[in-house]
Amino acid sequence: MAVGRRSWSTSGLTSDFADHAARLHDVTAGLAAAATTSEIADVVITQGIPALSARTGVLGVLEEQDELRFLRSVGYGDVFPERLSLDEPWPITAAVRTRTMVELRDVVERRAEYAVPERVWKASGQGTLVAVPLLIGNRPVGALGFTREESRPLSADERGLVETLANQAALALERAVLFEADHRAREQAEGLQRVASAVARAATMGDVATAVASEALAVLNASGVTVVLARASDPSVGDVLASRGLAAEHARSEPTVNLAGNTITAQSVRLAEPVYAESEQELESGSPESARVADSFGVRGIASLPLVVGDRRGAFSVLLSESRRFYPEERRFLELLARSCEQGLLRASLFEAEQAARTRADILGALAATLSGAVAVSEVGSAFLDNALRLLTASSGALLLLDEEQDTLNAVSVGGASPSRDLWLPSIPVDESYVTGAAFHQATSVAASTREELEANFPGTASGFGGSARSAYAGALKLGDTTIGAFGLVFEDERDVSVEDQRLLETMADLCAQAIGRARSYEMEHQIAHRLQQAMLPPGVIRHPGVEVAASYHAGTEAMEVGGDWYDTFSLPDGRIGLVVGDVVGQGIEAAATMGRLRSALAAYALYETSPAELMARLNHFGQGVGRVDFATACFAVLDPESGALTYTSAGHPPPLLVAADGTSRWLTDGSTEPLYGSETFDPVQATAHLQPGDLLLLYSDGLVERRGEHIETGLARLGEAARSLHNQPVHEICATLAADLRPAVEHADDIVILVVRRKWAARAVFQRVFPARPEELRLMRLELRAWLDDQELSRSDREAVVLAVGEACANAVEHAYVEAQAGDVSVELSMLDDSLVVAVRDFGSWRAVPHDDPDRGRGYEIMRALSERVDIESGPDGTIVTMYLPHGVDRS
Amino acid sequence: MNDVVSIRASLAGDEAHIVISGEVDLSTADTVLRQLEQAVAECGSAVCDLSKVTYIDSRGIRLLVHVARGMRERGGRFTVVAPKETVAGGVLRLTHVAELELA
Repeated sequence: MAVGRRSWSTSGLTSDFADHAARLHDVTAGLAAAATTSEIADVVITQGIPALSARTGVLGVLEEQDELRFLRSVGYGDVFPERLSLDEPWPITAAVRTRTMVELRDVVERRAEYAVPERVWKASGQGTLVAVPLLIGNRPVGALGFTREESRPLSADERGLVETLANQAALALERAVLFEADHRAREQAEGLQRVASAVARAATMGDVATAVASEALAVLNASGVTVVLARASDPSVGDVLASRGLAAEHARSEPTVNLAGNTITAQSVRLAEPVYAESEQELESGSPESARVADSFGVRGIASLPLVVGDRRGAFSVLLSESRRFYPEERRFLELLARSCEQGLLRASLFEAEQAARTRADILGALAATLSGAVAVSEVGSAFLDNALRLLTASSGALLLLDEEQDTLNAVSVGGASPSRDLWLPSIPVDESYVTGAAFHQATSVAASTREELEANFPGTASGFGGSARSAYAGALKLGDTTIGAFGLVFEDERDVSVEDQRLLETMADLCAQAIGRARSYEMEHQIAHRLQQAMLPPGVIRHPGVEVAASYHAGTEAMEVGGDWYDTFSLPDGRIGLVVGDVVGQGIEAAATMGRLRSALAAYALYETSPAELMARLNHFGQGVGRVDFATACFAVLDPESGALTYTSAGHPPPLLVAADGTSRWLTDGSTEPLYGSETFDPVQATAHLQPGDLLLLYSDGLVERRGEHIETGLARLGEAARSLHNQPVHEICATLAADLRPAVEHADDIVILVVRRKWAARAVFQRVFPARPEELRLMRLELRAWLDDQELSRSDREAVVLAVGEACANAVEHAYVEAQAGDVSVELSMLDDSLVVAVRDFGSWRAVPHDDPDRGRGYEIMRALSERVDIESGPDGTIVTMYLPHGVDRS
Repeated sequence: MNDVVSIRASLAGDEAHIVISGEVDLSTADTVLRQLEQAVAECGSAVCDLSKVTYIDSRGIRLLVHVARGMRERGGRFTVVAPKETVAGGVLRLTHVAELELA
């Protein structure tokens, strides 16, 4: 090309012949160098214009649809069309139609014979026009035209030059067209090859569509490609599987396509035929809808090919930013691409369906497995939600159950990672403005697949979640014919839940409802067992002046475990005290009932048999027979509060702990013997120990020391350390603190019993009096107390302090313990120890409610606390006991 | 007046002088309160001597506070005499009753 132009510019115009020859040489050389049709046009026009002293020059190729496509137009500005139908009455089309050169002397003659827009005439100048067909043999392949400013007929030379130009251009064009077609064919073949291999690798429908769209974009030099497939659930809605170029921009704002509309894409889907709109005019006449969108994106042509994937339809659309005809081979290429796309999509859809089916089977399996072990309704709820959320990648969900009053749905479980999780209400009325309420009320599933639908149909849910829910799905939980609740899921995107997923959710909801039914009956059993257990345990602990005793039972955690742990304390006929803790292996009603039998039997045997070993042997025998005990452990100890002598046996039970008043401790392991499991050779041993005044004895069940995955020694060491640090505390506080601090922080913690006994310091003197709870009795009590105090070695201020403290406690009992008509007794007991005086004031009534802020009561307690080292107040169903520890020899002035 | 507690009151000008002796407890509190209110009803100030009280508990303190508050509300003044070494003195100091003005 560059060579041609240079040789042309150096040739002179001195001799017509030399000039002619030189030009032909230049043209030939130029055309030989030109590889493409547009380069050919360039050479022909740039050579022709100066040679003919022309003002304008155009060259067009003839295309299949009897159209001239102009590769080059010089001198016209932008008024010359890109394409021109042969039907148009223009000189250049006449030249093609007649296969002969058209020469017109001037613009007058031109206007007289041809109808060409005035602006074209104007641009072409006033003079001579020549239009020549480009022929191969007699077949036109294009046309060439020049106009001159002056009116001068072509000379023979000029005519010869034009003919030669036309001949050479025709040959060159034919060659280039074939070459280009060949090149395109090769590119297309390669493109198809790449598509085939990309499609083969693509795992999902999206991957397939993307591979196809990318190749189409590259091979066709298109400005956008989009692949759309109709939904199985709603064939009028097409999902964009892939989009490239300008189409991607559009797809971001419109992720779905209305296939019921009249767009080019919708037409090709409906007609199941390719639809081509290759210019703005064709777009406008074919689909004003598409024309509008195309215009806003600068698109001037659309080709849309239908796709059939199983029973779903779709389309594959190519956007062009120039208006041009697709070559026949391009159309074939598009067809082949569409077939590749169909096959790939079909394979991927089958694969996806198989994957989805496998995932669904996995989810159902996982749910069934979890539910089989779930014993609490809340566990069932979260198992269901976890799997439902996983299935649909929903942002959050909740499971609600109808309450007993039948008018409210309460959320028993809420799940999901999104912040919308916190927007589920803890309870809602049975109201159809909520998606869950509607599902419950209609006893079926309901859905809102768009934000618009959500707002219109479920305003409660829509406003509750605000913008964080763009679609929602809910289903009913049915147990037999009864709807017991509903589940709801919300999504951050707009979506339809597929038919397959709906079916799966229904099955999951059925499993869930059945599990809830099971869990409810299990929870009921748990409650019964718990109540039974409570009923089996003694209402309180023994009261004895020589000991402080406290015991507590701590049920297994909120999970279901009610065990068979128990404790008991009782007086023996010889004045000693029996202390028991035990543990029946098993759970639920059966264990609680067994525990009750053992506890009663032990207390009964203890009336006749006070040797712990003998008693344990009887208990073992009892368990074998009427007691029906499979396996139990128990520790039984007998304490003489006067002497501190302790005899004990521990049948398979962890050893008692003795914490001395000085804070040292030791395990009482010598009395360890076999557990109670009906052994024929059961021969229990017992051992003795001694409790000094102030010493603490601790009996407990294994729940206090055992933790999963930990050696028992570690637990025992922990208990020993805690007990040593607490040994100065009141016994009931030791119970509470040990239970709170040592209970393992896990679900399914075992139940625990703790029994703590402290031997009191021996009293040097004791004052005891019981009087009727009447105000006038107070003075008499004080008189007797003063008389007793006078015999003690106490200062006057100590004596007055004791009288006041006892007076306050007794006045409280008289005033508050009994309903007036049923006045009972008040008991006062003082024990004189070496350095303190222990006062116990006890009543047997139930205190009437007293306002907490009563300043009078407050002042009374203030006085008691000011006078005592410690005040313990224990209230129970059978009365209240106030214990005060008053130091003596203290100056209170 | 019973044998458990007695209240003697004399009036000197606008000031009542009251002596409580014996035991003030749940059984006598109502009587003591009634008589005390009677004694201070007509005067601008009162001095209540508790030196001879042999027992007084939180109920007794409560009624003294009640009477003192009533006098203060009508612009009067109620002062308590209870030396530290007496029974009432010990109890009053133990309870830190700020509303009772000790003489």
